[in-house]
Amino acid sequence: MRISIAKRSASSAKDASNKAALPSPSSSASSRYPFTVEVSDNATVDDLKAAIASNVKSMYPDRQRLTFGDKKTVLESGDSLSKYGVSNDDTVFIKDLGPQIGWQTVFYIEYLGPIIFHYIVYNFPRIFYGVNFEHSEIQRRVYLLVMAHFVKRELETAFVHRFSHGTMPLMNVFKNSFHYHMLSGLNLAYWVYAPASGQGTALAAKLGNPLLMAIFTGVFLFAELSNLSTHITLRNLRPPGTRVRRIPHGYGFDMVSCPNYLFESLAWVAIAAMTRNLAAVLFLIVSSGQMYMWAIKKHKQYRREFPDYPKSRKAMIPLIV
Amino acid sequence: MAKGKGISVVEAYLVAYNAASFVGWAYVLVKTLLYLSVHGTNLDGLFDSIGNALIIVQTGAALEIVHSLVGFVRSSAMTATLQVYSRLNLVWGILYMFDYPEVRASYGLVLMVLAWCITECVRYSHYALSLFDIEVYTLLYLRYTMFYVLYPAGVTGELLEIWAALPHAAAISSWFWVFLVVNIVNYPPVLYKLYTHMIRQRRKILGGGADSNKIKAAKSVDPVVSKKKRL
Repeated sequence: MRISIAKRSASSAKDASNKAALPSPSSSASSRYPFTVEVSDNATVDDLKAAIASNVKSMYPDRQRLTFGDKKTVLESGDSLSKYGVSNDDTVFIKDLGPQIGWQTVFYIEYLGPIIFHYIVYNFPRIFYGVNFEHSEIQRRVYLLVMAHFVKRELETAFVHRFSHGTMPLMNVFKNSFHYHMLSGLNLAYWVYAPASGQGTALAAKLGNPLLMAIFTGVFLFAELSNLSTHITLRNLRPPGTRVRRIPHGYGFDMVSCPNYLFESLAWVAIAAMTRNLAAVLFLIVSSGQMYMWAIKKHKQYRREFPDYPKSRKAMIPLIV
Repeated sequence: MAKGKGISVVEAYLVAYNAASFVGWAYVLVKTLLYLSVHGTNLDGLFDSIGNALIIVQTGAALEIVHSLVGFVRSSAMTATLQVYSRLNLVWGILYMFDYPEVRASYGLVLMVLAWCITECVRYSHYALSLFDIEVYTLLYLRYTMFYVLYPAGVTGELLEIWAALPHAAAISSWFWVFLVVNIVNYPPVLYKLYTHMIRQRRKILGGGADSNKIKAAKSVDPVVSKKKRL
């Protein structure tokens, strides 16, 4: 069937099947719109996006947002066009989402920042503090644990997480990375590896209580392993290539919808407790706060989608919220 | 700056003033952070490290009163005077006057200096850039969001400092003591007014998000940035 691809302008929004859509006067780049593409009668949204991409080189499928009809229904990947009632000679509207970057790439970039910053601040203190000094045991310990955390994240990004076709606008990578690179990267490293708690200082002696350090390290390891376990559970929830949605069960999931966020927060609680440092507390508050909001959203989604969703489950903190 | 007209002498001077102030405050900020990261809570050497620079750069802000009086900048000399006065009071009347650890090596000082530095760095860079008609949304956002924390933090620091100076002021003269107490008493109403003013400004400027209309609106409510007299 023949589909007309057009850009929505404010005036043509009312007339969805406007075959003679005039080019929008405000945009010079829309001179190529509207154009028609030919797809099979039982084509999918992906087929349509591929056809558009072959017509307009820069508009790769991830960059397209296709809507149809007065209700501006978004055409989702994986569905057939007939599901939305798109038929021959209809007009589908396209929006350019701008240059996109894949989620997996973003993850790689986000977690690399802290690794680099911690490495530099720990190993080249002269650049940051103007002095050379020896790190205390507590600083060595935190360095090890934080590096391990982010290396784990990189490995999970490579081997564990399942990324669906998702992308985000390219420019968002800066906003997203800022949180990791600055808060858990540079800022955390700067204050934790500072001479003020270096070898021989009173602060290091206070923080370096062996029993407390052992306890907090233990909590941290427990949290990391639990978090990994939940990621593996999530991975196994959906067989590759399918789009099934299932209720997760198992370790952590029996009590909360998002145990991955719970254990992640717990790991940072351990770091904050170990260092008793404002920079660690700040990162803990910001990251846990964000994860909490995500957990609430996810929890509501699950409850809406599955009528038999376990009633006793909370969003992120067992028995509480 | 009018488009295509180039920069006037007054504007060039203002850019220099704002840039120099920014550099001064950034210097104090970096030195303070450096000191804290190296010495932790041992604040004995803090004033030695930043004291002079702080006094100089804060005193430089007095020029803003002159700018208003002479018409270089469209904001009332009264506003400028009120703002600068309280800072000068603290820097000369407290920090310079009283060489005691309660005043010069205190958490109040740290709180006060950090709050001032961060606020001023954002403010001066905002002004300097706006002289070139450049609006950086991030700066605007910081300016109208950080005050939620920085105002109370800075005020707490200032009050702690004045409080610490009270007994020493009394030793000099009971009128000095009274003067400082009157200062303290004035803080709640002034903070309330300034705080609610900023909240209202924030709603106006950041209300719906960053498009050029909002930023133009920002220029029209931000008294110093907008309506600069073209001299």
